[in-house]
Amino acid sequence: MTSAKQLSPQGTNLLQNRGIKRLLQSRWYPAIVQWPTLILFMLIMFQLLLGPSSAHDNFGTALTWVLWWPLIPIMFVFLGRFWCAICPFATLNDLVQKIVGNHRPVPRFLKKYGIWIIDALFIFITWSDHVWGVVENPWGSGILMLTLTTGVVFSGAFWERRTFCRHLCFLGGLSGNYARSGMLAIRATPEICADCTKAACYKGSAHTPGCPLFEFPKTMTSNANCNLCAHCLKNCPNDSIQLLLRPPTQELWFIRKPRLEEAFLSAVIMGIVFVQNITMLEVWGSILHVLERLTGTDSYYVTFSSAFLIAMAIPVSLLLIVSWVVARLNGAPMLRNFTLFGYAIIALDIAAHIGHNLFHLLAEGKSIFYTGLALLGKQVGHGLSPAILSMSAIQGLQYALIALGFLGSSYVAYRIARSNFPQHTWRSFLPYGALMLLLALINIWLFAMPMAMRM
Amino acid sequence: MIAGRSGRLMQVVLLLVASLWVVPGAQADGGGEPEMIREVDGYKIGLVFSQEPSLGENKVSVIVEDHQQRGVGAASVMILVRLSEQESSARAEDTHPVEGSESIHDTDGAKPDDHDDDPASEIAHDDADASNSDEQHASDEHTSAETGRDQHPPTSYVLEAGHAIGEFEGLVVLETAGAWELIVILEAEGKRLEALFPVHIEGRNVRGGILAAILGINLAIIAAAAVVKPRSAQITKNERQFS
Repeated sequence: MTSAKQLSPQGTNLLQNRGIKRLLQSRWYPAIVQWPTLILFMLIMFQLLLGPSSAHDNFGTALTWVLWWPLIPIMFVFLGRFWCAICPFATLNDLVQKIVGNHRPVPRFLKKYGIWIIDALFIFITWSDHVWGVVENPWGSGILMLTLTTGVVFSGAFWERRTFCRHLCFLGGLSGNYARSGMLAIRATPEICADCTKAACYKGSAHTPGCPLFEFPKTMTSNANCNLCAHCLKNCPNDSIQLLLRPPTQELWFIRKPRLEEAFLSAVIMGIVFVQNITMLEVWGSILHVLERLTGTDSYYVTFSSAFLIAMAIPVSLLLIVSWVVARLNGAPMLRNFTLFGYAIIALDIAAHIGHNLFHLLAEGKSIFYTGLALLGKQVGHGLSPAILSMSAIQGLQYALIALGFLGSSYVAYRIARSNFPQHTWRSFLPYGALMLLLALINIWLFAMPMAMRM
Repeated sequence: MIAGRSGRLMQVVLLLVASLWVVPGAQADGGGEPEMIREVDGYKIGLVFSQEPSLGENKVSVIVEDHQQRGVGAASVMILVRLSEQESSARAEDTHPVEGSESIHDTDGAKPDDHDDDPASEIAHDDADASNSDEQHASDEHTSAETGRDQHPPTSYVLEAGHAIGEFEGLVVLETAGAWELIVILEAEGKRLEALFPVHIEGRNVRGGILAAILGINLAIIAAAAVVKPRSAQITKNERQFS
């Protein structure tokens, strides 16, 4: 169904600008950002493990959960997975690999089930945050980071390239999904690559290693596993690589190899955003009481897990139901519809995720300044509001984001319907359009309610 | 030459990364929930520890907000500290053969210099000590019904108004590791409110042990990788690192 035109790179090639091209080809890129990030990460770790035990006063908590975490989905939209190129865990992986790396091939089970492991890890980490209070507890956040570090050290020590980032990192899975909507993409020029037999972009060269995330630009059609490290650009002897500026969500219009686990993850992320919002609402206490009555226990493990499962089940079930309905209308199997149109939720996922995190950034943002000054021995901010914007202004931004997300998801659903079911475009699209509207309304309803702060 | 420098640089960086675990491992102690909020009769009462709750003196703040989320300044705030019922029964069972042989209660044993050099903290500490005698009667009332708390009888501490409206600060002493209960007793607007906050104090070496274990695992991984590293995996042109 996918035409050759759809597979060829589309967008403005930013490498036509000499300055950008020289920057990306420089040996200092991305190291110039990578090393300061690692140093900042070490400062954060010291603060989390040794600093004030109250999240309210901890600079590490403020930098991690009030600044970095809210900014990361925004970065995915504008820069794709660039974060993964400068991530301190990736740098640590490379360091360990340089010294003791065994460079063994990625185990087959990771290649086959890696994304399911990522899905499970993402769900588990979100669950454990609520049950054990990881975000609210600097020590807990520090231990989470150290646990990830251990996984990274193991992966770097035994497996080749950045196996952890590609097949195990929970954030990598999330960013992979989000990066498909990203506005920057690296692609090769098919006409130039057609005669190339060197594959230096993948294998590496004397001066630069190959793709750390196992991508082969010649056949790459997705941004999900490209971190814009520009190794391929530095290695290509034929000047085939392009850095494309493209409209957000464009990649989702033509998913060449849709995968059930990725579609499932996009629906699960929506459920996770629901539960993140619900637990911050003032009605959360009442919801817990209802769950305690229903489950017959006041154990938070049980009540929260029930709420968590229900929240995740809502978008997954809705997507399944709509896919079943659409299967009756367009004749395609239900699971094929689920897999194809699951990607359409990603735009709304990003909008809801940014909207939720925007609350933390804008309602608690000054805490970064206060805790930073406290680190220098200057106590300020006690009793002062950490808010940067008023609640009504934040809510306005959240509604605008959800509206954008709804438009993005609806348009993606339409394009998926058009490219896969040209005979039944509207029949395939309309039920999914209604689903996107329903999900958008649920998000708006959640954002309309008063929320509690973290800092 | 460059490769040699690069190798040394890597070693330095790895040492720095390793120090992430070693230093905290040597210093960390204690454990528990640093920040808790209870809602009582429409009032929000928050208890905040300035550091992770630990053995000895702990600087705490109590934040009180009314139902409109305004700080309640005109209030008197006291914290009653006692061992949890389960902890005290467990200790009563453990110490049964020598019950009553030691029932020393000495909050003066806490040394401000151990944890906090802030003069304001010392003032708060003095105030807390001064208030002990005034509040001992209230403490005794709570104690009478708790037969298992002989060794560590409940102690009350009066908190001073803090920097912000609705914020009260002071010191509390947690004498041993285990499960404690901090009861914030608040009198405001003609009402008396109580909020219970369970706090668990870990032994001094628990956190250090956890960090040492993680460090050990990481070092073991690196050592194992170095041992089993095949010659073919030596760094080649095509398998240079991504730095």
